[in-house]
Amino acid sequence: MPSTRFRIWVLLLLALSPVLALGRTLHFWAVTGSVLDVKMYRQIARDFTKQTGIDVEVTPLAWGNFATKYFAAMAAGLPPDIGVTNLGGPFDYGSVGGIVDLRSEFPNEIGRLESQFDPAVLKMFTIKNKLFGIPSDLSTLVMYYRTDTFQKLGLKPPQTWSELNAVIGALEAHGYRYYFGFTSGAQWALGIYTMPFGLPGFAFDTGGAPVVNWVNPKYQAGVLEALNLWHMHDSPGQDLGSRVQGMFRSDDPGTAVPLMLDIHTDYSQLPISVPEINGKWDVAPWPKADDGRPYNVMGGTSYVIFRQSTMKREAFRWLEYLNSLEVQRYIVLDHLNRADESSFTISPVKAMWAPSNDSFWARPELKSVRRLHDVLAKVVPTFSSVPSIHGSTEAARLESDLLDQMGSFIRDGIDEMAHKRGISRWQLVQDFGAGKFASEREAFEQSIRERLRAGYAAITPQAQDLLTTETARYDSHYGRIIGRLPELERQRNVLNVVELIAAAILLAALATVCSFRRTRKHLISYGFVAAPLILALTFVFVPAVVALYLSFTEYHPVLPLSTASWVGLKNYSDVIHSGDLAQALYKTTKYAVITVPIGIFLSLILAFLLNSNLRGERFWRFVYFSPMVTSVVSIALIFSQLFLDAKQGWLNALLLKLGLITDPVPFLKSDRTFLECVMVLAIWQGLAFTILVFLAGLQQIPAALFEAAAVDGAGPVKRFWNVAVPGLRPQVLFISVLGIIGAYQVFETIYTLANKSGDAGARFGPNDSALTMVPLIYHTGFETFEMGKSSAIAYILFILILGLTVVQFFFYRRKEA
Amino acid sequence: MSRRASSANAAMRSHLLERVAIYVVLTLVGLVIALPFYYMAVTSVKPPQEITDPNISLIVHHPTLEPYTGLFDAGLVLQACWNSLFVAVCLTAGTLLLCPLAGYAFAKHRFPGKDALFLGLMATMMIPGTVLLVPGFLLFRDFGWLDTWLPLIVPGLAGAFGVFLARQFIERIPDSLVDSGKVDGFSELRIFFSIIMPLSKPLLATLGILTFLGSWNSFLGPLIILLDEKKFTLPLVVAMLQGRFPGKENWQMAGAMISILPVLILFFIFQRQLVQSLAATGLKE
Repeated sequence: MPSTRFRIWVLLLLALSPVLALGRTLHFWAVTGSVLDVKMYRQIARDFTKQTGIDVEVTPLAWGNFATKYFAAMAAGLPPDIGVTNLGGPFDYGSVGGIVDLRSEFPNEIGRLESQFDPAVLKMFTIKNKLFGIPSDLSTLVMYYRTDTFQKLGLKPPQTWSELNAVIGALEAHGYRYYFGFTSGAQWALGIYTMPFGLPGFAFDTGGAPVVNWVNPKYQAGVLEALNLWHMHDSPGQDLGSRVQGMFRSDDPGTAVPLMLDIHTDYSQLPISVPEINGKWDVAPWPKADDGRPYNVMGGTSYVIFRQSTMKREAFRWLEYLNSLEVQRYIVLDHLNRADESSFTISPVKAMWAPSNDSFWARPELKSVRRLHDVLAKVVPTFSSVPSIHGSTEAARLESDLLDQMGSFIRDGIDEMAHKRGISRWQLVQDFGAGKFASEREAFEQSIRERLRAGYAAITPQAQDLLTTETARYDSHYGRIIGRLPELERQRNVLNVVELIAAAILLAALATVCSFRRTRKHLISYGFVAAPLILALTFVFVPAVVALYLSFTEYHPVLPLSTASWVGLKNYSDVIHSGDLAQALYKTTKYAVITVPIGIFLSLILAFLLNSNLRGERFWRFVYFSPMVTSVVSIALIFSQLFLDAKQGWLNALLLKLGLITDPVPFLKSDRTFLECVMVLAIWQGLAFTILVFLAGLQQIPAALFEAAAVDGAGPVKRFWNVAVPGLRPQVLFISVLGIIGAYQVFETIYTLANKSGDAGARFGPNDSALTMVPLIYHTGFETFEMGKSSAIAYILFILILGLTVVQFFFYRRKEA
Repeated sequence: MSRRASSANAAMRSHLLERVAIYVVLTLVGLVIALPFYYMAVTSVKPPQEITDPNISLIVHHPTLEPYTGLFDAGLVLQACWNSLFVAVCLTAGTLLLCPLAGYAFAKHRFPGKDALFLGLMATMMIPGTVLLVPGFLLFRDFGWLDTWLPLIVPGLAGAFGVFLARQFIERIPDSLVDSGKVDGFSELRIFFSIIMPLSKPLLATLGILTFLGSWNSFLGPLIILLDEKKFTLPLVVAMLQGRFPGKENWQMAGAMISILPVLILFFIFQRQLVQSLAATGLKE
């Protein structure tokens, strides 16, 4: 019986509800690498609230795994009203009905907003005349160069690719490197090299069918220029971070980088951070292809409005406000006022670059970026974008892998040539720059061309197939579903059914326990064991059954579960035939069979040594066991710095000092070494637990056995092999099985070493060289969101691990018997 | 170690040599193990000038706490510490109550279906967590639990492994103690709280430490469940540092330090219990 007080509360709430609805807040998520961006958006939001009365809550989202977060939020029904995402986001989210088509949602207002942008830039947000997003900011490559060094060497800033190559050669001949930061090695940035010839990797033919342009010789010529700049020159890479500024400041041949090719935003703070070289450097636009048209846009962000938003109209007003001239100017100024994090923003709004806005750029506080503005004002009108096509994300992975393989091929080739002459890689690069060994270089470049041609020929049919089937699938499947989403969302789904079954089991169990006297008198015992059983039923059995069902379906989590379509064994046959599974199994097995035995062998020795009545035993144990309690992610973060691909990395520095290598090894940047780095980390971290188990085992071996061996004149080596190792056989067996099961589930270290939280395009190591089982499950489930396929892979892993567990159990039984 | 008077000087010398060799090897390997920690500590107090220096230095010339204050000012890290602590404490508290409770019933009570239920529960240990990622995500979505801490706490409150450990331990408590409680007319709950729990301190220590560490360091679950940075646990924030503060190696290491140092200090203090607990995960005696 509800009390009077309760009724009053309900009435009060009902009376207040219109008021509460008015005070709703607009949720805005911003993908950003900087907390200062968040502060800026909050300030803009406060002004917006003053003008419109609409509150805006700004939530930051990290680069790297932002797409996963957006998809998860859409799947969970928790997306914001409006968000910032990457340039590809509008297409990806729009394809599964996660965001609105701005043209049909706001037919009266969109015209005015669209007219603020260059149609060439909007092309990538448009699918079949639907507009899914508008640009937020854009970024491009520029060149920073030391005018004094260039003058000393008689060089001019290059305006074409051939001039750029000549300048680089001249710098190298004098012992200077150049730095290539952002976009180095990135597949998504290839447009810079191929769009000058009008050739995006994927395009529509005149009939509207998707085509892959990879085998076009012009396309490959563009890619070859990229490969040349990325890999032929021993230039330090972007993971050097802020050290680059120190190298730009330096004039020390061997250390100095008088030329930097990087994203335009990153060095606006140079006047503040390295004031001693003010007046000695300048900025120039990215050179154009010798025989191509200028093409320049390469990165940026965009705004999207989410379908599940209940405040779409308010979101659109916020969008209009953000793109007003007043706010665009504020954004430029705010980015400049960030001390050592200041940067220059390229506004996509045309009016910002129009002559009518010249007075703004003439402001005194913009003096420090006037030069950058002048350079970019010429570049911005050349911006355009590549069309978005279904299936291109997966097809692009094939090209990414090829590019990584080419990188290793080129670096290996250069190393080999240098090795043959007995000189370092850097020495050979300098010789190349000075024009030496021209015929060998030509022969090498010929082999690169041939290999690239063969590589593209091999992957093009698969890519073409992906584009064709995905486009057809969208037209037939998603195209139909997305129109009926609200209706579909009301339908019951399999998960509900399984949940109902689980609830029925629980009720039946409860009823059984209560209704028979035999069980009723044990009610308290059942009560005691209820919690683990209910939790296991709900959170293990139910999901396991659902996963089994999902593995036979095709399902995108942004759509309601009722849209999961039964595909039989297709997921299993797909992962087996595509080779993904075989690759992952191979990599995982390699990882397991190397790390586990090495770890065990080292641990046996160390445990044996630690077991010899040491002074300060507490200290030794603390040192040797400490890796066991520390978070794997933090350890991996430390190792990612130790493995730095330059002489500034501690490991490289050590190896150089010892004379074991002549040039820094690109540990985490090459598919030859990435997985090995993960293994080193795994062995380092795994030692502690293994030693611990072995030490416990050693202490169970009667001391008399060791003494007897010593009396018989057995030295330490003999005591180790004849007493310790045989005595530890059960522990070794135990650790082997446990270690292999653990190795098959490796994930965190790979995720962190590959910098997946920080780098938007990062894969599980170069060439996906560490795409082992769990990363593959994560990738298919939470990056490409093929829930069915991911479940299929998970089940295959489950069966593998089950097999291992059974083996372990079998051994134990035999031991006990 | 017993030494015979007859053993000659040579044997003494070889023994001494052996001892020295042991210390040398252990020191060298110890340095390799400690190196990443040293790198982290040193880098975390380097000022920007020393970070941007193209030449590396093994020591810090002008130590500064700027990376730490910067990190704290930027937010997230302290919040994440609190979040991690909250999740870990809730999970540990629940585990310390529910696992011994079930373990006690499985060890000392007799009721129909006991063995079948126990076996069924143990079977869940065979299913690796990775199999449950996708369906778990969908289940939590259905519950409305995404972007909350509930999926990180509730399913683990009474895990099969904890129940297994508890049953193994409580089985060894003599039945006579339980019976004496019954004779005194204690209720089952009173027997559990006043007889079983006080005798299970080593079990509670083991269970508590393992649960806490597992939760404090867990990554993949929070990675797919949590969306809002304000709710992130510490490992998520640490992994994010590379992207949030690119180039600021000192800030990144300060973040690593914050996640590692408390655990290391606790490890140093409670070394003996921890070592026993961790060994217990592996060894059936």
